[in-house]
Amino acid sequence: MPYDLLKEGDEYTADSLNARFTQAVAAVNVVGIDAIQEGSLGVVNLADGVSPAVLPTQYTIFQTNSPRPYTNLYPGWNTDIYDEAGAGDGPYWTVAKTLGGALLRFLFPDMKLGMDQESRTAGLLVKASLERVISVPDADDSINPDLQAEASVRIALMVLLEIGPEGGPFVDTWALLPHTDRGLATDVVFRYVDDDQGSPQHNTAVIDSHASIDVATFITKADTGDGVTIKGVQVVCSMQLPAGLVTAEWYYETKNGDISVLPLHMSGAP
Amino acid sequence: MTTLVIKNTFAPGETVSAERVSENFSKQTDLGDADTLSDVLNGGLEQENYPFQVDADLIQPFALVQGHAVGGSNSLDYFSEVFGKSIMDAQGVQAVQALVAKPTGPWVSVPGLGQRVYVPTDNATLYIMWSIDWTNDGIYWSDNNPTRPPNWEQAPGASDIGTKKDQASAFQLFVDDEQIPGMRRVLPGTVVEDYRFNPPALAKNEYSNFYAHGDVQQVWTGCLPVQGVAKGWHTVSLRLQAHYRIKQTRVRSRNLRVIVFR
Repeated sequence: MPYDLLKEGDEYTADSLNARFTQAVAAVNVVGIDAIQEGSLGVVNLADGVSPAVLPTQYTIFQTNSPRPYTNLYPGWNTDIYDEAGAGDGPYWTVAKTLGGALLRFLFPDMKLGMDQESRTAGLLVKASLERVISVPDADDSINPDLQAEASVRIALMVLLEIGPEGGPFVDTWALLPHTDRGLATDVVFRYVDDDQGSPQHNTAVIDSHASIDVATFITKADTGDGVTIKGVQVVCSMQLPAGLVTAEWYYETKNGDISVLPLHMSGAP
Repeated sequence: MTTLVIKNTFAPGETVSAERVSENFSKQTDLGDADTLSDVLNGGLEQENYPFQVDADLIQPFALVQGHAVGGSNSLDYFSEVFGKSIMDAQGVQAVQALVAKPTGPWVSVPGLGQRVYVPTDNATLYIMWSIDWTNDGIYWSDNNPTRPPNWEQAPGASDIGTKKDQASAFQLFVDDEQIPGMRRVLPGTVVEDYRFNPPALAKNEYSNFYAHGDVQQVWTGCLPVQGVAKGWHTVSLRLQAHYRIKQTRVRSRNLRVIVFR
């Protein structure tokens, strides 16, 4: 970098000071991209690989030891109707929530995914997990004896998108990501037994089955649509029962759970 | 290439202050978001002064991300003597869920589920991922068992799930020896004792009938991003706890991975 030294006798003025800063700045700005050699950028040169500005304060929302009963039923694969109010007890998908009502839901500033967008976020690495406990009725005369069936709890991810016809108006809409829909079943055994007292009883093997249902995905603009504003992501859950068994005695709970969102830059991503 | 704009210019007759001159050289004088000569010369690249995409081949290996992983596929057995008579004796599963014990208490570290990670820069983000498969031979008292607590059965909405005196084993995530809330999974006893499948006329100690049912194992695949991590060494581990009457808890395949984003 050239720099003209002030020589003895030269005037030290505002102009001479400005000129030397201007000279130095110009020398820095003239360095071209070709001056960067392969593998020359290290830790001190680069910004964070995570996009911290995308999310306000945290990357994870926890649900801690919050047993909360649900009776809502699985609407079927790729069906995204749910309890929008988030109050729970909706008929189909409902957003997972704590006993106190806090939602496993991220809402963040409007953004469009893609390294070519202002957010410079290639995608959102989303991971969610629910510890589910499923409970079946002690005895139900409507159930055929000797039936062995499975009941499962399903979870999925939904994204809040601003969508609508070209040119608008756009409406905030929660949309299911079908590829994140998954469930975990537990066996339920029904049978008649003789209690040796002269009257057969109708019994159900009642099992409170604990299990962790986990889901992970990387949400990109291929999921949201190119140029579509995304505003949030949430965990929804539901229960899938054996055919013909729809009764309020069947329910499930979620205890521990979490959802985390990690926004990432990605070189080479569009 | 860069778009550096100098912070201060000086007017004729102005008294030159050391602060205003220094501001043109370094951010140490509280320049806010403005760039300085020394920042750029030292390689501090930001969107404002480096407005093009950085390709991967320009970046040194591990400059942005480092990864660490441990794991194991051999089964490890933990017997009751390992845990002592812990708090789980009194309340079973519910106690496990509520337990906030000292990290040096009954929680036991498991090989393949813990590591010590060096974070090279301040304010880093750790992305912790793990998967565990474990089981136990504890007893699960079904709702049909007369030894159940009196509140064993309630209507949906007022469930007491988890309050039974189940023998359970659990895993909990620790970061720097601190429990992370919500990062815990509980496996009740896998052997069910059910009263009604046996003649009730018999004495209590004769009607026990065991059969395997329900959860025979649990698989937990979890993750946790941890923000604002300071430069230096940090520990990440998943630790095991089991009811003292569980004879054996078996930890099967497991792994723990930590990705460090600077």
